[in-house]
Amino acid sequence: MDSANGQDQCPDLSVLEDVARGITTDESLTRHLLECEACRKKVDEIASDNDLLSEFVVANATTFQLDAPVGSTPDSDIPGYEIEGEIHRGGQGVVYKATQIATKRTVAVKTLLHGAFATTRQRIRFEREVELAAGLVHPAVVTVFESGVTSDGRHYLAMEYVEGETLDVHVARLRDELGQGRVFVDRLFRLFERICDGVNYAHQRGVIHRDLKPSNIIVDAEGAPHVLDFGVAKAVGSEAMDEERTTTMPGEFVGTLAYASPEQVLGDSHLIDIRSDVYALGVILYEALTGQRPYKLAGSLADVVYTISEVDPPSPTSINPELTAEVNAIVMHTIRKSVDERYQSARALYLDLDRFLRGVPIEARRDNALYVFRKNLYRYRVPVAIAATFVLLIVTFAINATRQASIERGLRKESAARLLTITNSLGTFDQETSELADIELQSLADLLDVLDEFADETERSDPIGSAQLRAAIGTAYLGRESFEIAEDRYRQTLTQMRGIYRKPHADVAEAHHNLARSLWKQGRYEEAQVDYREALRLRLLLFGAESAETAHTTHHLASTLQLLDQFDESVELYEEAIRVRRQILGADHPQVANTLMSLGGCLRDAGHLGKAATRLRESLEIIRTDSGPDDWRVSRVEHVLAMLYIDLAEFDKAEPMLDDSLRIKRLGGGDEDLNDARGYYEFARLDYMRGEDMLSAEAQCRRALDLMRGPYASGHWELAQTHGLLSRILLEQGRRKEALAEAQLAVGMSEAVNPPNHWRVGWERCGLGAALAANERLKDAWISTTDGLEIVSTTRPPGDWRIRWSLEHAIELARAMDDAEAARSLEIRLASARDEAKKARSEL
Amino acid sequence: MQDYTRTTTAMLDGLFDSENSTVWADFDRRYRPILVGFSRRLGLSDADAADVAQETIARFVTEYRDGKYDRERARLRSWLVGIAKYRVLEIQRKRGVRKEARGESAIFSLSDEQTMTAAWDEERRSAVLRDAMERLRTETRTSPKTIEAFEMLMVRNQPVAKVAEQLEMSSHDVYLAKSRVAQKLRDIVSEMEKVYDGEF
Repeated sequence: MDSANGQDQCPDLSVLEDVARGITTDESLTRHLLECEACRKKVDEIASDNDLLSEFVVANATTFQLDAPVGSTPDSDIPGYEIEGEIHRGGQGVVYKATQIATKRTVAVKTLLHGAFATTRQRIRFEREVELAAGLVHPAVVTVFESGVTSDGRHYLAMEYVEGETLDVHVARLRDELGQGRVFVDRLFRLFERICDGVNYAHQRGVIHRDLKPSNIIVDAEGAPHVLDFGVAKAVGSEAMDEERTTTMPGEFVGTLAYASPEQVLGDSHLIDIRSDVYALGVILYEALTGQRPYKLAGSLADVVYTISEVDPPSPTSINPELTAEVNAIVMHTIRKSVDERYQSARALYLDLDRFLRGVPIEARRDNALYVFRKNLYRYRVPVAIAATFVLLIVTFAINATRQASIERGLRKESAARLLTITNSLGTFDQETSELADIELQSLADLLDVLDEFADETERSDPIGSAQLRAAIGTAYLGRESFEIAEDRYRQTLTQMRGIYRKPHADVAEAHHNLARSLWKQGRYEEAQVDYREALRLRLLLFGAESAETAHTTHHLASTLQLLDQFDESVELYEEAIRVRRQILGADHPQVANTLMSLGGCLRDAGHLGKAATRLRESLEIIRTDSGPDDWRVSRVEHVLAMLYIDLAEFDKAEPMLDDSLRIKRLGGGDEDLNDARGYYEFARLDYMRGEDMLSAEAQCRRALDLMRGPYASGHWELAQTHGLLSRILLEQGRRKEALAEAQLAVGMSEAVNPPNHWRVGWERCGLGAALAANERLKDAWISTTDGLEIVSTTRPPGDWRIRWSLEHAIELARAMDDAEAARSLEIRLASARDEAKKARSEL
Repeated sequence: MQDYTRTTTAMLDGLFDSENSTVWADFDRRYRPILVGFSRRLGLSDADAADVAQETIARFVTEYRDGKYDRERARLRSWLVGIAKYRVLEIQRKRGVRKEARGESAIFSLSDEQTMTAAWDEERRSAVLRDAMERLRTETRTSPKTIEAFEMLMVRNQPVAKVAEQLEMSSHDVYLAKSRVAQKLRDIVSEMEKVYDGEF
């Protein structure tokens, strides 16, 4: 394109004017501007001319007005209003007190100066915002009635007329009257609740104020606040930072910058939302409580922006020592630099003010603790390994807490104190950390979230530490019975470590072991087995057979195999773990007792009841000698022994064991957990098998179910088994419909969580058969019962009571179906099963 | 309109001579409008603002002649702001707690130095801009039609087509007129602002 042609195509000056005013976005025009430097330059010139001229228009507004034909008395200026007097004259224009002729109500009319809108776009925006704001009717919001244009072309707003004093003046008077202690704070918070209420009301209707400050809040004679100028800031473009004004900041905005949020001064206009108003409320609150603004804004605009967006303000208590830590927390939470860390709405701030006034723990303080904690992690670059150690401390407490929940409170304090010690030891003590000493970490879960994030962020700088921290987090979740999350963290750990270590490494072995544990806890024994075997292989390689670590994994693998009904290998591994532990720890070491206890359980499952009882008693003796009669492991062994006695129908022996077991569990107090659930399950089974008190059996069973539902939300064989027992108990009470529902649930879950043809599945099918029979669905019952019986009788030891139960019900069903032959053959099998049971009992 | 030939420094030198009433008048013309605007920004009524401006200038001149104002120690601006602030506070105290309705939010905290200076600078700029407009009309050879085109377009916010029709110009010429006015004003302002050398 030659230059002559180019000039021919250059648009007319009027078109370029439109471009400069931003009121045309024609595409071909844009293309032309990209190519033609002369036009671009012209547009820039026009824009710069317009800026200058707008400035002139504002500065000369009074002069121009005098020149206007109407004269200086504004009476006839505003159609429909009768001006009574001038209230205020300021940078944006003049405010009059007036009467709206049509309604006879007294109003305030705010006229904007000529040139308030440099572009048509701004004028349109003004009208739209006013329309939105005009919809706001709330006692704490000054209602805008309408907007219009005066006879000489100035825009005006008519609004509710409120008589009173501005918030800063009001607060100064309150301080004179009440001092600056609790009485003052209470009064101020009540006032702020009402302000928050009004602001929240506007937010819910899509109107953001953007320019909240004490002079925009009028308190009337009754002490009620009224927020002015909603929507006006955006409309007139006088908010502290408009997107178009970020580069050249006229001085007039500096006054309001004190209340502008970091996202406003940084010009992140997309981040400006209701939370920017929350921030302004925080600064107003800060100033009201302390008599000072959070920042001393001085220097260049860049300095001001830096201060607002980066510098931490002094805490309000450091200025007004009469304020409590809670007040401090509320204010600081409101003026957090990150929008996500602030109160998320004026409503949230309102609620915390309300909590404070009612003496209920506030939300801000909780977050504050975590915030401080997180900050310290980063600020002091706490080595990840130390963070991991810290988590392990928590874990220790968490695991204890699941047994002894009453110490949970102590745990939180303790955790905080530990972190304090850690940061102290790094020579990083400061005032803020000291606040940790008296905070209470409300929830471990929140803390773990923070640590998770920390692990993510340190993954690159400190991969090993990060992996260890994640493993520790996994263990914490395991302790909290959040098995799936634990699994996830362990898997991440393992992935990370595989990238770090090329050769067999102790950390990798541990990660496999931990992952297996989390799988085991979810009842996924097949998968757990794989990881335990890998951990065992690595530990044998690294530490040899005679090591505590190897014995540990051996024990766990054995318990996994036990649950997979691979009793022979399981017993063998338990024996090996006992051998090693006795050798390196001594014959009567508590860990030896642990393995003996598990071996006892395994032998019981395998049907070797006599041998099982021997091992269990052996274990009990060691533990009682070593740790006294109240140790939690005593409770565990007693529990297994009780199960064994119940199996053998030795109810009188089972009952005191179970009682004592539960007594020990309850010693710690606190919330009940899975261990308690297991206790209740056995009590239910005892009552059921004894056949005396079905109502008690049902109650215990339901208690167990309640405790299991949480941790076993995604299903578990223990949960399935408990539903199955409940079905049998209900059946015994003749509540056949409910029984059927429970039995169906039990079979469904059992099939989902157990391998096919597992004895537990068979056992629940027998239960379902009985329930179906009671509901007169004999054919279905027969199929379910015979299927189940087939499995149970081939997979359970011959003396198992379940075989007898299933046979008894099958016989009953055969008779109901008039199948005498089947009944007779089942009776023979029952007789032999009873013999086996007698034999088992004699082994004791 | 004030005299834009004498810089503030030259003016301050002349103020020592009590006989030199021209300098005194110049100083008054230069700073009174700024002080009035400044006081109004602090929430005073027009009458009160005028009083504050009057008292501030009188007090400054006295202090200056007594040798209390040291140019090395304080800028003229801070010195004047200091005096004016004190007067404003006095008036506010006298009135007690102001009970008035506010449809306006341009109230500044008197303790905020940054805001005070910014308000001052803006008022000074406004004063210059007003004088510049005046000068454009009287001292330059800008045609009345050009100025009128600018006023109709920018001050009365009239559509360009209407302006063109009334003044019997093309739209293109209306815009050209506006651009010429802008350029002239720009030149005038930059020349005028040079006289405030002693303020900073």
